[in-house]
Amino acid sequence: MEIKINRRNFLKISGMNLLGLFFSNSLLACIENKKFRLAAAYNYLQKNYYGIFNINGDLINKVDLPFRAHDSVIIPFLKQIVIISRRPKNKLYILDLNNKQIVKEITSPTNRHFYGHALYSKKTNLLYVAENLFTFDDERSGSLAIYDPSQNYKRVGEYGTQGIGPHEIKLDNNNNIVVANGGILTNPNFPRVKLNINDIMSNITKVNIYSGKKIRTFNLKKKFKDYSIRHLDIDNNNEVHAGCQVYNRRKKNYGPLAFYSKENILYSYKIPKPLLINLKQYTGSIKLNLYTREIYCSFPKDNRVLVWNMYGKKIIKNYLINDVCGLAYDINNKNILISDGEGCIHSSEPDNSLKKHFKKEIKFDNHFITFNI
Amino acid sequence: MIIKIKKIYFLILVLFSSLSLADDNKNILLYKEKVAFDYNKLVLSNKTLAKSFLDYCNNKNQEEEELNLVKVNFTNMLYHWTNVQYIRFGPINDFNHYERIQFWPDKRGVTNKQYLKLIKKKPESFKNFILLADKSVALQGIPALERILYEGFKSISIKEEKIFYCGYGSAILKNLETIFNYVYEGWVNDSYFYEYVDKQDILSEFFNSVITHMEFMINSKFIKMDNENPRKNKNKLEFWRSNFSLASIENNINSINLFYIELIKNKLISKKYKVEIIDDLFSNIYFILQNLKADKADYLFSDTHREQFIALKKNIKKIHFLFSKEITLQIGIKVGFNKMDGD
Repeated sequence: MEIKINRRNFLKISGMNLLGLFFSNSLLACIENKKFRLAAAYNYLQKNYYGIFNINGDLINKVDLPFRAHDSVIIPFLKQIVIISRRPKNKLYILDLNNKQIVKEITSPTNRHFYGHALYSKKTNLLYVAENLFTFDDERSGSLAIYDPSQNYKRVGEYGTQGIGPHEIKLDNNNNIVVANGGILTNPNFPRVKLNINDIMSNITKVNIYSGKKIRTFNLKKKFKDYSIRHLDIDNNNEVHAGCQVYNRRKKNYGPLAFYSKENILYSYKIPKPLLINLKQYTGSIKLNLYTREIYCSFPKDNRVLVWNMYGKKIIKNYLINDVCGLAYDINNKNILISDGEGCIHSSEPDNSLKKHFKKEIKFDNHFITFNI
Repeated sequence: MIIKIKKIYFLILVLFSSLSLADDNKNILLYKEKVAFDYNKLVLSNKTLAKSFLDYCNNKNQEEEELNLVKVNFTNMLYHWTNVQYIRFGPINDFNHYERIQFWPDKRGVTNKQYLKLIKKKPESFKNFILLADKSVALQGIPALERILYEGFKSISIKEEKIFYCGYGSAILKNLETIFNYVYEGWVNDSYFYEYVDKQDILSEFFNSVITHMEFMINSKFIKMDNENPRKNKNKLEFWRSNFSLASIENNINSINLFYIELIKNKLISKKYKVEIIDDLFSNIYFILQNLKADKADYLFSDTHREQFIALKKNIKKIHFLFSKEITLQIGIKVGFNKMDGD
């Protein structure tokens, strides 16, 4: 269709543009008013902390932690962050962003401990935490604890994850909970012992957020029986992308470490063998950039981050960062931020370069979150 | 002419640096052989212990002397175990081997609970080392064996009890023999060993192991001394029944010091690092250890010794700090945080 540019049309278009310009500027001002923050657990001189930083590395707030934390979750309507302890600890700390203090400490009930990951659903307004119910030594042990933030984090229920050792949990677009059941049986009475090392039963399970009923389970092929699926992310089509750790340290038949689902089947991301050997059978985090349609996976033991494109599943970026681990999406700049054990935050830039935003004398733990406040 | 001299100078530099690199690699491989040798000594000491244990058990009379010999052989085995205790990579990580050898620290008292339950029921399956290997790790290794020797054999008036303790103890020793042999084989046989570690990573694996073990020592091998009566915590020490806790710390320090002398010190000297600082810390540690050892009885619980014990821990902490902060930078070893245990 051809648009004739007459005086009236010209005024209409330029008016719209001006209006657009006005709104985009006010939108920008609104975003700028909301300050971008990133928050993570970290270690400094053998002590554990949780800190909130701006992108320049200024420490806005820190709290001491009596345990090593793992992931954290923001509860937007309360402006609070839930800090989750790692296995085999049983604590959740609630950090209030208004008064910058820990306002509540939650201990799991008897015979349970947390696995370091949680999620918050806006739809149910509830917090779900991956938990080990270690009175059982089978798939009944994996459970999701449910807490209600609007009732001062009252524990309101729990249901099974249909697997052992639930680790990272995420919501898919249908509001189902997707669980990476790591498959490794542990018991805090035996803190460093993997009780089923010869018989790991890892899977990815989708459960209904309301009923806890299993919707679907993705199993790895039998040849991956030594694999533990730890971390995952979900794309727009509800397909799951997952990273694994492998427990057959002695065998040299290195297999793939990252997988994606397609119509009920898990396929592997291809990694060239010379590269694969150096990754030492260990992934740290996996995160999607849905805007650029890229999959990021960190490999701390090889100080490496690999990036695949979502369509061809080809490696398109390859970053070397010492002791790299954490990955988080920066919603403002639509890129992936990367943290490491040397206290650095980097970002993957559109021209594929790596930009270092800051370096602190701390060791960032695996996961970190970003938010505007 | 000047260009030619520069070229020759450059070639000499390259030659020297490649020679020193070759020396470095040679030293690392020699050290690896030494560790394999240490594991072999552990295998042999365990065999000697097993033999004396069997002799004691086969003797119908409960000879105190024979039991004492078993105990001597037990502490000899502990000596060799604590020499390699800092090694936390390679075959020791397979099949929960480390915890099966020594499930400790045991903050929840699992060994105690399970052991008491076990000696009440005396199940036959615990006398078979193959079946024992599938039981709780808390009952498979050194802590349970120490308890049999220093507690179980103390009170065997009933024949049945001696039979159980002898059968169970023998199964533990056989279980340990299987594990020690497996680990030794993994170290001595290069085709196995390099399935665990790449050649270029051996030094950094040793280094990370040493740092992890120093952390372990600081966090677990020293009981809280600020308590009014630390004697109450006596049974939180590593080998409190056999009175080997201090010797264990000493052996760990010996191993760490040897690693430092053999593989690290020269590198630091070449970087003009003031090695005297570290040497002094090791000297302090040995001086304190000598003092504590000299006064065998109750060495941990008098006020004087309490101070020395605190000083010992402080010095180890300082070495740990220097190793993990300064030395890593000096010699270019990357100590991982997430790569060690990102979860």
